[in-house]
Amino acid sequence: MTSEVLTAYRRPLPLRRGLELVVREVRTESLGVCSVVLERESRGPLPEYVPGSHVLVECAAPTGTTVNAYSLTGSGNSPVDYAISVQFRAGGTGGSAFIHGLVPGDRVQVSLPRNGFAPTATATHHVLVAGGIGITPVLSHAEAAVRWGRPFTVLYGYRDGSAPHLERMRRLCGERLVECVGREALARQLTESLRRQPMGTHLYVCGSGSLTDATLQTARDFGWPEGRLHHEVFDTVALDPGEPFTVRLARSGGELPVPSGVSLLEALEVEGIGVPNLCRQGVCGECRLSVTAGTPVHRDSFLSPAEKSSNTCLMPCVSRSEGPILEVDL
Amino acid sequence: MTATTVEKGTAAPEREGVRVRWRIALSFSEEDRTRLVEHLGPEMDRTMYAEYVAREYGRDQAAWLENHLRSAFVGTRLVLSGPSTAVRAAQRDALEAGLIGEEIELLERPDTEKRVYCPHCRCTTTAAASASMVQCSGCRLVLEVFEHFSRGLSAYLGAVAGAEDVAARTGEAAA
Amino acid sequence: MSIDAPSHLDLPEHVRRFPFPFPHDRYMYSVNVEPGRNPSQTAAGRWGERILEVDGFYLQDLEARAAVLDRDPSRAAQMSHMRPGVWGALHLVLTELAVTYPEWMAYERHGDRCRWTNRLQQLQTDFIVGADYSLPEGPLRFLSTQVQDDFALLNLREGALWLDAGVITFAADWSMGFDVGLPFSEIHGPVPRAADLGVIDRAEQFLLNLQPGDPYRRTNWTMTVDRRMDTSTESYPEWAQDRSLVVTDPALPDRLHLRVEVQHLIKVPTTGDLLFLVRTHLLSLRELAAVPAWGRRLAEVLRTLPEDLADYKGIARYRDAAARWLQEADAA
Repeated sequence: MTSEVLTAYRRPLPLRRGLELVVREVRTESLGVCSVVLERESRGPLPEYVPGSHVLVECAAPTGTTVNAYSLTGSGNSPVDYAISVQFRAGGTGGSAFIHGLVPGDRVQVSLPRNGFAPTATATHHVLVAGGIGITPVLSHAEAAVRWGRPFTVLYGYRDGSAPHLERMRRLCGERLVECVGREALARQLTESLRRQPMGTHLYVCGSGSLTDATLQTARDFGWPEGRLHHEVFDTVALDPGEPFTVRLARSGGELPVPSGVSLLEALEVEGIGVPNLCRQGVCGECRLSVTAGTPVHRDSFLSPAEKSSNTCLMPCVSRSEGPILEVDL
Repeated sequence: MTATTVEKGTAAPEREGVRVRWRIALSFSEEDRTRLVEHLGPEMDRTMYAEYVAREYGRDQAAWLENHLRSAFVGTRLVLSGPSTAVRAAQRDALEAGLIGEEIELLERPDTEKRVYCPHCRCTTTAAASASMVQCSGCRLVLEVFEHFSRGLSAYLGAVAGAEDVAARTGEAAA
Repeated sequence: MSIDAPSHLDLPEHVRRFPFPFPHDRYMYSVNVEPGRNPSQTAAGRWGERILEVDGFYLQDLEARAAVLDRDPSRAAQMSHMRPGVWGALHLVLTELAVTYPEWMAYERHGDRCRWTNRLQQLQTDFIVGADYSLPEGPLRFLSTQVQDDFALLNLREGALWLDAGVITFAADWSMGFDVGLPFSEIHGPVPRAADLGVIDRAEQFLLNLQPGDPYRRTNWTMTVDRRMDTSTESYPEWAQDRSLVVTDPALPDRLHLRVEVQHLIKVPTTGDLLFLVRTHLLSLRELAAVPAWGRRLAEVLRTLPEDLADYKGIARYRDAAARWLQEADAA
């Protein structure tokens, strides 16, 4: 038990509770873009997911292991594999080079699917805007929309000769796909489309930062309220492992290390010091500890602002220490 | 009861950082419309696309609203000015038509009456706004009225009053 | 604790598995959520290892639900945009049932074609995910015939959770027909103190951040006269008087039940809708007093419960009588 926790120390929680999958297929999708199909060793069913979901993938780069988020390109309905498409980027953290270097049979650690880009159930129409590799979550949306008969339009902007999944989109969407070759054509089409969309339409955009900003700005200029605007957000909060620190136990006098990626609550439990707890997510208030020295970094949603600034208590399931040492009343 | 539809252009300055291109407005008296005009100021002339001063929110008004929302484009806001019962019923229909909370501006004033839902027979009864008890028009039970409001039914929750008292019998507990 | 520990084998199964909900002598609202499937030890046994619990009341509870729905179809509600969510919830629940009870249940799925077998009901049925016509009553009602839990589906949009579908036949004094379409905050408007304590906001924030594959649960409680499952607002005229009559009834310890809801909170993987499963357990005061630690604890909770909470829970009329009986039983 202990050793298991120790070896998993540096792996962020979503990956520790994730899946080890095997590469079944690697194929070139378009210039600089490859698709990787992952499956269970047993080839059994994988957890279903919401359209527009992503997985976190552990990428072993020469400079160290990084965790990247990649959109899943299926509808999410009873999947037996997870497919991602990745654009090669020179430089960066090396995540894309790792993916492009995968061969069938390789093992990859991925999180369970996560979502910050779900369709809106009450929408009367979805306008899905994709730029280049940003087509991946849009493909997932389009698959699910076809399945459930939801009305949608895709505006797909790409550079000539570099349009991942174009054939699949054409087959899937038919006349619901509007292709725009080049940035200017896409900008013109956006102006044209966003000017006159029926009430009840929701806008989804995935692409480079500048494309996303420009799309949302165009929509705002036409009076779209924020509640109708959606862009892909990879939640990195869950990933933030925090700085390592040492916890000093005021009553018993001991000291314990709290490594990066391990909560104070877990570090105490590893040493057999149980603190009553319920949610382990900083909302229920059950595991509250008194702080006798040091300054907590509060990451919970239970304590009031006054309690937080008093520096006299913290929720060890999520909160950490500002400095190298934190003393608690244990 | 006057319904007017006015086509307007789209070029306009911003208001509170949010650009609104068109407005559809429903008021329930001339005073309510006056408050609407004061609230919108110069935006009134710039954005008003369709306007209706009604006496009530009934089938005709619901149909008028639905027609205009169905043909409207994103960038439109709905403004509702009047007594809370009518305003909230119109708000419910607008949300059902696909509008989101941000797109509805409410100029709500206290009502002289309110609607009360009887969960025992599923009828809705109109009562004085201040009433804490009302006799259900469906099952005749005397209902205690709670401060719990259903958007879907556009009514407050009622429940039979005094039912836990052993002496009390349904029907004769009219307070 | 060890002095209290009775010989558990003497206690009936439904007592040993009863989800006794009070960790302290005093009760107050809190965001009392914990991970699902966590075994929870009690003074009489344990519960909570499974999300869905099929027990000796299975057929009886399902019959009671069917009767309620026949009388009042408004207990089942579904807004039109919830079709994918309802199918997702059905798939989730059937999968969970089959994994938990392979001796009675089997679920096969090939693409969208499914076969469901439930030997407890001598039932085998084929259906197609997404095709409402393939289940005679539709997926919402069908789901309600397979588990003892009531359920509600909450849709996430505009930063809030909206109660947009469900089948609630065993409500503890609320009305599905009235609350359907409301956001989480407005559903809980009538709960005293909860808003001031920040409990509702924090609970909603927690639920908004919940990820698929991460089931959580909480308990809630009240009391009920007799083994009456349907204590909805709709049927209140039928059971309201019992709250008074039970006070002086010599059968009080057998008629009065602690009513505990085990609520599971699970994201529907395909839509992100939140599935609330609400399973109601009833235990009479006499059965409860067979576990001395429980009898003492409940007496203390009832004695110290603030007046507004007792009123809201509808136990104000008889809680003193109940506490008194529990204390006497403990002394005897």
